[in-house]
Amino acid sequence: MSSRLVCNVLDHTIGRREFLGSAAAVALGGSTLGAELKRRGKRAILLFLSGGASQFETWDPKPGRPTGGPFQAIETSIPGIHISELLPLMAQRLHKHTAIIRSISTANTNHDGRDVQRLLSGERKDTGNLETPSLGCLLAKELSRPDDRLPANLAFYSAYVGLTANNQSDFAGFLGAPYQPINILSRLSPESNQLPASLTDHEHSERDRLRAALSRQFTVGRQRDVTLASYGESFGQVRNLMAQEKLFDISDEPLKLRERYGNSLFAQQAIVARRLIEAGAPFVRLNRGWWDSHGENFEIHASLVPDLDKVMSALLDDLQDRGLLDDTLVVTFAEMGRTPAINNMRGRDHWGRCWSAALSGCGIKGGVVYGSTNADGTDVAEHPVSAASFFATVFQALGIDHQKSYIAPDGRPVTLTPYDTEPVREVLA
Amino acid sequence: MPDPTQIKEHKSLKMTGDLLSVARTPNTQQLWIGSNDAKIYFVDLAVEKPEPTGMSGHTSYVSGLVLVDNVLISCGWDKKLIWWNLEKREPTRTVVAHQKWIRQLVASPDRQLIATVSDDMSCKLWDAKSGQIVRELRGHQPIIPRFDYPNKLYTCAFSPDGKLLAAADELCQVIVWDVGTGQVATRFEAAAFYKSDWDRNNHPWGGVRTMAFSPDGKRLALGGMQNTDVAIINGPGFVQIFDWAQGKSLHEYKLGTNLQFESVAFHPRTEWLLTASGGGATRMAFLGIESGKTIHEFDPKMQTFGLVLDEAAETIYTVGRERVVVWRLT
Repeated sequence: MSSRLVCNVLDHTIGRREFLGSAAAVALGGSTLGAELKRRGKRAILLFLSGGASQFETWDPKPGRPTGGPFQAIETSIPGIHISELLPLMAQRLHKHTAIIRSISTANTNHDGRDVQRLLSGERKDTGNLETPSLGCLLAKELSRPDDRLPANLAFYSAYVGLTANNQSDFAGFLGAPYQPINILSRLSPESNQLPASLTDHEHSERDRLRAALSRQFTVGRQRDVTLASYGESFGQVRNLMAQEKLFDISDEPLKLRERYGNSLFAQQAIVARRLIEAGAPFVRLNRGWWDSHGENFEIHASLVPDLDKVMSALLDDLQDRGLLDDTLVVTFAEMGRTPAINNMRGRDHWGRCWSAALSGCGIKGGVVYGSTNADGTDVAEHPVSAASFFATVFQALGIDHQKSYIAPDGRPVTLTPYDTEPVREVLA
Repeated sequence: MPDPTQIKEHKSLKMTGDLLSVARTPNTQQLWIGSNDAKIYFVDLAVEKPEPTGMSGHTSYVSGLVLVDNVLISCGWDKKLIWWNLEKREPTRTVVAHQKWIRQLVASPDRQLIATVSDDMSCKLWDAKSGQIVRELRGHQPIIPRFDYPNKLYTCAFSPDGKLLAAADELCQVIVWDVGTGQVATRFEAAAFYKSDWDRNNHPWGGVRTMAFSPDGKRLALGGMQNTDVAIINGPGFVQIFDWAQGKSLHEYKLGTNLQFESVAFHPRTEWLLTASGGGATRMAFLGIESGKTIHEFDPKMQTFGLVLDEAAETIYTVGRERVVVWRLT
């Protein structure tokens, strides 16, 4: 294994094994090679605003309306487009790399359970009782390559609400354990990425070799067992992760850069995410919580939106400065939006009917605002976008065919998004 | 002496929206009311069927109002201070007073100065007549430590002699300034109002939301809540009276289970302290200043965002969610 910890874009050329695999697929009549070339070296970061950020206090303000709240709207770098005054840094950058969709319309209005699982897997209605993988795991699977030295799916959580109290974690389902997220809670690095004090590196390596040998013997005749294969690959990732320990240490980042991100936990986790992406990690989720603002919505957003503004703008600038943004899609999404009505605790409650999301970077036409809500933000006025359509847009931006099929364990083909789903082509570059 | 346990709703007026601030023309039942629709309403509650009339000038919530002689001064979340000619019902002066939202506006007892507090974490003293800034007072931390979120400066109050100005923030830091010199007279922490929730929600909750000096100037009453869940208002309303010079808590009052006190007012002869909740459950309470006990609490059927007493403290005017209420102590 190379001792170099950080690789650059040129490292992400197609490996011989992939090329042969793709070529074979083409020979069989598929168009996999083209798709593979298109998505070569692509990566994704999901900024998941856990708990449900308010669209009114972010991307779709309604100042002066009964539903609008106290914050003003400010001009952006796109003529005629305004966003909340809580996002001044993003307002200056909106024309560059970011598209806003103001007409997301989803069924979910919960933080956890089956409804959130459905949301995270695109609220599809075509798969019956089959639990299809969530967006993060699908991206991890699609964007990872066999020779990756980093886990396919890393997820950072700033609050345990969102992970343990309300489980919004990604789930790989039949994709298998390699695409299941390694969740990192309230920290910058996995808890167990350092050797136990009782083991030397050599001893640990020997144990890993022994485990692998025993595993090979055990799997003889059991090759079709997805779970078993997943376990084997997961254990195999452990040493990879340990070898990349330095990636989780941001102390060598320039002070000026760290100041641009800020000092919140979310900011520091975002710097780690950038380092991981730069080193070739295909997918990183930053689960920024907790936005649930049934009480004092405006106080909570006065705290959290400026942090989002700082982190998101710094992340996009940083990726751009390093030449990574053209190949990295930053998805800013949540499990829902918040109600137009302001309750008796000056809060906003759960709301799926019309809310906003943003896409930045790879494959996105910067400066586009797609869809709209009515004057009070109570309904979609133009171009409703379903979860499936939003996910299809994410896949297409990354060069992934959103109609690509997987074979589920029960043998049926399952497309990444339902067969009749259309991406929002207006936001695609 | 009127008995606070015998308080009765004398009159009420239905309006729309959240009525956030109130000023009263002395010796009348005429109120000026700041609303979340960015308007200021005038209403004379002495007439049989009061008809509110509105004035426009702000572009966001009107968070504070004071009357200085016959001039109304207002502040808002639009960062502006506006002086109003009440005969013409027109703005005569508009000043962008702060870089962020103005939370509160108070007038000195002699009406020569007004003070504003804003989330830009400055407290500013202004000449009430000329509109010139007299002094900018700083000392509250701009950032919540560890979280790196913006701090919020919620409330301020003049001492009865007008020589001191106190202000309090989300971190529950209370600073008392000497108005004449701008020097910090003292500062202390009212930590019971603050909850740092790093692990569960990763954002803190709390802050001193309202304050008032006692008539003798020796005590400072602070109001807010003791929350247990940052996603909702879920804890007792909380009032604490401090000997501010010593930074020593004298009395604590916890009422209800899911409410936040956002108004406090001392009786002019220190008979009681009145408080009212603005968030969550609806509650008003008269608190014993010497006893530290609750004299009387009741449900006013309205979130209360502002209140004023008449000269004899026998009539109380409250404004809040969609209602104006006149209360009488009998």
